[in-house]
Amino acid sequence: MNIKNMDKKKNKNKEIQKILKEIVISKKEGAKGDALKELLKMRYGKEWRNAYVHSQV
Amino acid sequence: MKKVFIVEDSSFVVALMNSTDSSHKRAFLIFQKLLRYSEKIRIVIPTPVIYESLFALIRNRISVKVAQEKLWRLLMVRDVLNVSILETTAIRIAPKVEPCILALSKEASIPANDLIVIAIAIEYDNAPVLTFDRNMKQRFKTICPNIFYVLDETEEKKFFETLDNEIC
Repeated sequence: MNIKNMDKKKNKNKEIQKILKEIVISKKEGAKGDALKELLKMRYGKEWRNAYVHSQV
Repeated sequence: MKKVFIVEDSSFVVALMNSTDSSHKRAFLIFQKLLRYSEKIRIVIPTPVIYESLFALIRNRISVKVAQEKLWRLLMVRDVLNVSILETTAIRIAPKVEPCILALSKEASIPANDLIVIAIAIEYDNAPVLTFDRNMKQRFKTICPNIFYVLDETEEKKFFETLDNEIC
């Protein structure tokens, strides 16, 4: 890989990290709990557990 | 170059945005991978997904201001396409969703938002749908074959294989 391509890849990665930082709500910004759980409760009411799996990843 | 459309369900969007979600890491890694496909794909976020995600974040006690700002940032990403729903869409897709609505028992709930997300995917050439809602695939697989429950590693792998095939 030449230097130009390496720079391009580096810039691309930088841009991706910037996007991710902009869209993710950090703990400092108030992230808490499990919003997926809340969403499924909104969708299914009492049956929300059938649609939810706690990720182990 | 023809772009491949990928529809994101609200279940994927909220897990991606809220960093304390148990599924956040998986959503983050998948989204990061998608951004690397830039120029070859478009991430479709239908309007009901924006409403539902915003409401779920607020219900999760995240401030309205932060939720609004972050969602706005997501919609401003170059590869993201916000698709609004027109009345004509509903009329046009009705015959396609009819078998699914009738196949479910009368007691079963069908969240309207889910159905709209699926309808948009059908409209966009049967675009793959990324979801963290385990029920979604089961309910709609008869009318929308490309629903990927990407919390499952095998499904995630299958999705990226499908995407690579479509791009090549």
